[in-house]
Amino acid sequence: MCRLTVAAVIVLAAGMTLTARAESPSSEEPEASKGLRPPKLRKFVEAVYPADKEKAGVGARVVLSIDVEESGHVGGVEVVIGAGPDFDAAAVAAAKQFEFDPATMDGTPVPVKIQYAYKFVVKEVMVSLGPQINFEGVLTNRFTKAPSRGVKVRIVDLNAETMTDEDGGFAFTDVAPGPHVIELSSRDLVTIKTEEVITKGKKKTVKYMVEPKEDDVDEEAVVRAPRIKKEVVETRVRTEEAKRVPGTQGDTLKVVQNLPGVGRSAFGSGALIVWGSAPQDTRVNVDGVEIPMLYHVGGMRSTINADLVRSIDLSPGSFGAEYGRGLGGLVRIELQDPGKEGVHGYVASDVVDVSGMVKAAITPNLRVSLSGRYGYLDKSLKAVVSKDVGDFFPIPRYDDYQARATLTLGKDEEVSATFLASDDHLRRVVPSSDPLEIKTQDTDQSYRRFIVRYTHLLPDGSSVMFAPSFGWDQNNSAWNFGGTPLLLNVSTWQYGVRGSYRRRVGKHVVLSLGMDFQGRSSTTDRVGSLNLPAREGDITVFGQPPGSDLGSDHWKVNLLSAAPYAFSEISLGRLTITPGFRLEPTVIDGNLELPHSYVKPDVGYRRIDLPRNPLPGPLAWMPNPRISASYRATPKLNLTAGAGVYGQPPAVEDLSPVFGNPHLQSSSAVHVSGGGSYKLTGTLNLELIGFYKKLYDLVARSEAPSPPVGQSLVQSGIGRSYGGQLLLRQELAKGFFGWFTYSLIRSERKDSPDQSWRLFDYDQTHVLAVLASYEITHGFQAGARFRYTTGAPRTPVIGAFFNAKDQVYEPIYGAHNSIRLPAFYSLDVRVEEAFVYRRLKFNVFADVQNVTNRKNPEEIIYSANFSQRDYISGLPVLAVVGARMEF
Amino acid sequence: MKRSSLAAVFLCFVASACRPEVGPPISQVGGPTILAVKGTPAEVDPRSTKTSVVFEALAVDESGRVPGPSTDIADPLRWAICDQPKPPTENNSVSANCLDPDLVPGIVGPTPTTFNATIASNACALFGPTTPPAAEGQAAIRPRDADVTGGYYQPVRVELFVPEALRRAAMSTSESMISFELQRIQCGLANAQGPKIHEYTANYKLNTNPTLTQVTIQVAGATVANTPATATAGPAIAVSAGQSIDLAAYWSEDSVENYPAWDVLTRDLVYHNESMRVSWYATGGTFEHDITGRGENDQELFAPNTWKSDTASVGQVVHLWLVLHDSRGGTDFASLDFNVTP
Repeated sequence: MCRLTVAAVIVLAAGMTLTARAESPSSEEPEASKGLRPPKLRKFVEAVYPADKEKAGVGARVVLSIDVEESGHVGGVEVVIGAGPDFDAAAVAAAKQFEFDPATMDGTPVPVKIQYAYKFVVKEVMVSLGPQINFEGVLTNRFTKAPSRGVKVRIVDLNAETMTDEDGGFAFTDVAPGPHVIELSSRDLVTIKTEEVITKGKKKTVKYMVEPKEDDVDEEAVVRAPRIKKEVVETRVRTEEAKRVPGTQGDTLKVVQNLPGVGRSAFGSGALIVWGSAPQDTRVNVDGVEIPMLYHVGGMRSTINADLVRSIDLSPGSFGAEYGRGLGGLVRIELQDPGKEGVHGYVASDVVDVSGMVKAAITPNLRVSLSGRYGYLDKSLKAVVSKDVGDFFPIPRYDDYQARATLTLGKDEEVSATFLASDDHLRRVVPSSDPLEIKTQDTDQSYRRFIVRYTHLLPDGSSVMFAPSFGWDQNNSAWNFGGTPLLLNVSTWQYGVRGSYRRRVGKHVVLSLGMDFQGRSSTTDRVGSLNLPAREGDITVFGQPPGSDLGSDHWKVNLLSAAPYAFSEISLGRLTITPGFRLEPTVIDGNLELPHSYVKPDVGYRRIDLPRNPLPGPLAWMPNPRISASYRATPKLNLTAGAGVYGQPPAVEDLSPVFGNPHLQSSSAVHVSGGGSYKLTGTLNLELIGFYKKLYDLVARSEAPSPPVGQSLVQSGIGRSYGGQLLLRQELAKGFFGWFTYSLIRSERKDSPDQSWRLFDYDQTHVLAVLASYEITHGFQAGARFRYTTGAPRTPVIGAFFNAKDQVYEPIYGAHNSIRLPAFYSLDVRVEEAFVYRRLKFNVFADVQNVTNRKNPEEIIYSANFSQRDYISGLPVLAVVGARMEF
Repeated sequence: MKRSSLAAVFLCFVASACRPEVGPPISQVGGPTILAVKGTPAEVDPRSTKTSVVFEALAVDESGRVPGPSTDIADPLRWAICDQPKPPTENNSVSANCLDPDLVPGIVGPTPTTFNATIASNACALFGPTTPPAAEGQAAIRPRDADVTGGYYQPVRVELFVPEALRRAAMSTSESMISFELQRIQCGLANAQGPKIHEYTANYKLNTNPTLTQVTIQVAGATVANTPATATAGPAIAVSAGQSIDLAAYWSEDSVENYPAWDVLTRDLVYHNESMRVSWYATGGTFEHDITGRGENDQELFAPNTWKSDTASVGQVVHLWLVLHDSRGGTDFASLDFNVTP
């Protein structure tokens, strides 16, 4: 049996491949009685599926060219794109038996040639063989892994029940499709309920890991979830969904930009703006190890191959004690196992880059994968946009590559080794007839990480994780503005060890202990103006040249941070409380306390720094306390709250005695958040969260007209951000998923306490995103995304004076960040076709950003004397077309 | 054709995210402004006894040089030596306080466009590396960084009162245009090895202003005029509307001086030739380039440009000004007039 899917593509436009034998070929819009009207298939004949191919489950697509006579009968049939002799012959034979209502020109039948695409798709047939098991599973003890026998498994809404057998197994037959509430109960087991969705024609197999009931406890809801959700506010996206989000070009990690609480980064930045925090305050961890950048320069692609990613979690704040060293949010990326069987992989290419992956099971216990990507957007763009785009927006060349091996040592015991590498290169030369206007930029950014991760789930239910890592970061930037050199080279070796142990210690308490050690050894060279690179809060206009003052420094800093942490999950019926703390002392060791001098020896420094705990009273003595609570008010309603103190050591770039301040200490923050989620259906969830963040000891430029030596930067800044976010999310079900997010955020800063609050440079009051994706037919899916964000704050120019030496006007500013860029909005569309051909899976997609060609202002640009202004708009329409082949 | 159609359908970047042209170029003089300030001498050493400087401004509007009794602007320029250092929070070349007439009051010079001043002896402390010794228990003041030529600069403010009828958007104040001259001051070489400091002291010569010698004017390769470069324009030269005029500004050979400067990249004393820039301004027509010049390794003694007259200037005198700067801040300027005929 086979089903023939016919996709007819009638190409009538002049200049394309089809030639219509008609008298008015220029008539492109056929009407009912005027112009060319295409033929209409009246009689369809199904092709005979080649028996061996159907048996092997091989599909195919044959593109035919068919001559449709004036009578509507088929004349000649030719194969345009074949799929093998047997498929071709079957398709031709069927097509010759077609009959059409003929094409007409101004109402008169005319012969035409059309193209047909046959798809041979193996039809899945449901044959009733009597009662079928379509829901089965197994229950095991969470800690001992022993089968849980004699447990009653009940489908509550159907009032059907069964008991687990000696192996802990159970099964139901002919369960009606749809969501069902499942209840597990026994004398020794806490009664728990969960929900499962049964899909028509598919068998659902589940594995429940349960804990025995404690003595004297009647009810305790403990089901081992697929993962432990510790964060109060956290959004997790499955990779199957993430790949389909429009505007991401299939890049799983770019989905983070669409999550609630995340602001839009300006085109060309790729910055993560989370709950009003500075991009550099948000940490990105891969398998528990920090990486310096999630996206390549420009934000077009992530630095990690999407097929290596199992999941992405975003915690915009109030996260637990496991992580620290950041005042903003937390992105956690889990890498996946290379695969249990055979050799698989993919090759993909689009107008942005080419990528590929190979993964293989060397032995049943040893799996490896290799992947890589090479970007050529700089070359593609040059072919299609004006050449001076590069003057405004950085268009880098990038590459990344990864290797991963996973070795199973025993039952629930595994070790993996991962190598991550990423490089970005940017070269720009802006020639000019004016020697002072010749500009060059040369930027290289790279990182490497080698991560070993050992995990072991012990028979008593406790778990151990140990992950040493080391890596190297390089960030070299050299500019030349008309002979004035500017240089910033930062080279850092990073090494770390993360270890954790988790076990039940009481009736209601599971305790986790861990150590997060991180060392960073940096060497920095900097030459140039005090004001470049720009900092948050700098008052400047886009394109303003840097100051002509030239400082110079070369300094080394070691940051050693050993952060022990502990937290416990305390379950009290419907209430779960997770208190924890994290002690985060950092040894800061530098070679220059004062600028290098030719007459005095250099003096270094070493100190232990602890992030300040700004909490009042006795709480101030607690080492970075964190707490979260979750209360399941009803089976559908869950309330959460969380708070914590967070620290962040100073950036090594700021510890220069010439450009910064070697005495800078850690900044700190207090996060408070709370809200709830309501499960509207089994897969539709509504979440509402409010938050408040207060930031302390932020680094800002000195306001002193003549600051003391080594105090160009001071720690006088404070900040706050507050707001809420709403997420209505339909998880992937029946080929459809989507979400609506809206965040209302205000983020403000004071560079010194005596100033009034000003808007944070990245403040975006309203951030809205709506996206949906639907698999319309088997293999064909389409989606759309709409985004709206408030424009970023800018400082207005209210006048100008003339710099007679440099022959330029310079701006006179109004109130700091008192105007905004116009709002950004964009509609993006994605269509994708997936099909199988000779055991190869193909995906062809078109991802079109900004289909309405909205000229979104990205920056304000002024006339030479600042009397007029306009906006620089981002890329108007970006259509990324790509293909992917999997094997 | 097929490929281009497919590209249009499938590919990519349909429009160009292009550089917006906002407003007129800087070379177009559309109202009262001060284009240049020439300090003589071009560089002084505040630690010495010779610290007097005579400043002359090139203030213009569409009618020519101002102020003057026969122009629309009669008020003389007001001058001030600004003693306000720029904090690290500011990105402009001078402190915003220098714009404040209460903090830095202005005065009138001996002529409407000139001013005589003495650079204060503490200029190298305020704007240079010679910071005062630290007080007991306090950190010393951070020395200022020199520019790529090793220079430090004293801001000099000059203000042009603009009558109400001539005011435009984005003026410096509600009623005036302000320019700053950055008068180069010699503060010695800071933070270098002893022998290098000696070498620098022995070989550094205070900067002198460059000298514009002549301007050549050609049409279609034929020389129309070679005029001496003077601050006051000579007789107007007749040109046709829409005509492209090839101009070249020449300077004297001794304008390009050689000087030592500390190279922050190599941390050594390096000898440079001055680079030269010519800024072009006109009350009508358009220039091919606003600024042309020669880099320090370019030995040519002229900078070419092309000016195209426009029909809107027919029957009028178009004023052209050239401002020559060497890379150490030395200045000269010249004027030209063109009579645009149909």
